[in-house]
Amino acid sequence: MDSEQQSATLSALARVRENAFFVLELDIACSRMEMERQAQKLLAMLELGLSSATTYSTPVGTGIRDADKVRLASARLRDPEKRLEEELWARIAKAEKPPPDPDADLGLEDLPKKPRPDAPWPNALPAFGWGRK
Amino acid sequence: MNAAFMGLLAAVLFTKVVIALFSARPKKQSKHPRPTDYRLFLIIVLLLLAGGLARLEEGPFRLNDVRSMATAVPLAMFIGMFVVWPLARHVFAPLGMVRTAYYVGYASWASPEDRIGRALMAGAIALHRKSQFDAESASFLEERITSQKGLRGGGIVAAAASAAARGDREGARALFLSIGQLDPRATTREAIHIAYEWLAADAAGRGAWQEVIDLGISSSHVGRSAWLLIQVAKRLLCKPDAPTRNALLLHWLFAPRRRHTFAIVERALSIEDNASMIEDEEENLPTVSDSEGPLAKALALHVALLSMKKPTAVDIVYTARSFDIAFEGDALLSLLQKRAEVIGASRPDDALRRFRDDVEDSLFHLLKAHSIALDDTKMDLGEFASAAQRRLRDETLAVIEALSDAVGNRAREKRALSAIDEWREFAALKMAYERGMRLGGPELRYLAFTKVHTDLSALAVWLFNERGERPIANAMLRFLLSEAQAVGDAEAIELQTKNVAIGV
Repeated sequence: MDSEQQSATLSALARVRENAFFVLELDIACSRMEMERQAQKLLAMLELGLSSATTYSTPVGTGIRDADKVRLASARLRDPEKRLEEELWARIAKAEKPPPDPDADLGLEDLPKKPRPDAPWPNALPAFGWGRK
Repeated sequence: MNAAFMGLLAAVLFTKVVIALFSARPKKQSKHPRPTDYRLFLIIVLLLLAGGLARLEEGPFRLNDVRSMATAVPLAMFIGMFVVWPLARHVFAPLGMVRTAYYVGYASWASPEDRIGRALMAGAIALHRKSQFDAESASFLEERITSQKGLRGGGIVAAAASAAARGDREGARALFLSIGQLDPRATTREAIHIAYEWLAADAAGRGAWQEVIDLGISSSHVGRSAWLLIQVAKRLLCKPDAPTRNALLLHWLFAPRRRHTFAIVERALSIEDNASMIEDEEENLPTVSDSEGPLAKALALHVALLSMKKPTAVDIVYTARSFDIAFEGDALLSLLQKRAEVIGASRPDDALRRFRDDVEDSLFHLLKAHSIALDDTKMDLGEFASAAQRRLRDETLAVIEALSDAVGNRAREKRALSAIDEWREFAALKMAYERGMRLGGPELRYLAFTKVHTDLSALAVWLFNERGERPIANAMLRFLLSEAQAVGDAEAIELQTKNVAIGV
């Protein structure tokens, strides 16, 4: 995957990660007043440096929250046309995870993983005299 | 007299060894046979040399003595052929002496058709052996590469190595790969070995071990370094034809730079003989229930798809089909209209259109990023996947047409570039064309060929007839011929068969 394509995939994921409803941790049916209150609350928490305000969870992993992100999210939700789009992307279902198998936990996850034999050989070009190590 | 006899005997034996070495090739049809047969010439030189050396036994050299001169000439030829080039390639190039390697390589008679190319090749290898990138030496070489007329394999390899030294891996890869397109008479075995050594090491560095193995399939003369890496790759991927430990050790012993390559050989040796490959953990799309509605399901599948390392065509089509279901009927638009009334939005259909465009765009980028071709003859693609596939085909074809147009227009307007830049344009066009073939299938191949055939023919004919760049023009015609055969264009096959037969 080249860097251009990688950034296209990342930006598609960022669209979900930075969805205004996830940033503000709001339900899509929330009112304008609820949204304003939540934004003010988060900005105050961020100003106080509370660690609980710096992260939020999304279907694509944890996002990092800062004051600019909160202001941008509330601006998007104030505009009804943009809010409609945000609502569409926020209607995401949670993937079902299979229940953990209690017998499966043998502590193997904690063992250091052996590198795959077909892992890249970064020194290949220098080894043949092409380029510098 | 005894000395003369011994000299002759030694010469004959040496010649036999040389002939045996040159003849020790597989009997099957080779893609890269030795360009010119020098054996007879070699025998004559060696016999003269032996006679001359025997003459030395009889007294010192004299300039006015015909027999003395008869010794000096083959001796000089012997030095030119067997001493000067190894000095440039194996002494000055490894020492990073760019200019010296170039000038000494130029003095060599080993490859009269491509003396400059070989000299540039020695210089470009030297460029890689410097502790730091030397921009001045790189410019020195690049000026000579750009001004070279009658470009052949050596010049192309030098340009590729120079691009690699500058850090342009993509450009270097395209140029090194393009060596395979040249007629065997337009290149040397050494140029091919250098190209394949770099390509194999580059692929190994990226962990693309299958690509390393494929290099061995594309050419039977890849050189000892690339051959070692191919055997290593076979063991790392646990291929059925992987060499045994002893066989691999033997390959390693015969390959150059043993101290530097032992690390990877050791890794390959750590795998048991006849071992089976450790499969990747299977990556599947998650199970998503319909309880929250089709749109919620489609979005959940979409984000899971974006997070996958290697999504398959089936994963993409399944996700796209779930969006088709979500968009079926007017349910989504009605839902959006209701929400628009509540929040005071006036254009719910615009929001839905933008959302649709975003999803299509995302699917298109996934197809492009993972080079996945969706085959509508085997799968029911539905609207979203079809739109993404159509966009990918259109974009691929547009790139090929743009590159082809640039080449064709320049040829018709007689706007010349340097030979190496003409070759770079051809290499870029060929790469785009081959990528299009993989992504667009036979339909795109035929459309692209019609366009490329017209434009590339114009360039090749101009290069061949008016500019004397016969080797690279011939390579372009060979590419057109192989493509004409692939798409079954009888007229093009006839035309290009005649053109290719003219030679280099």
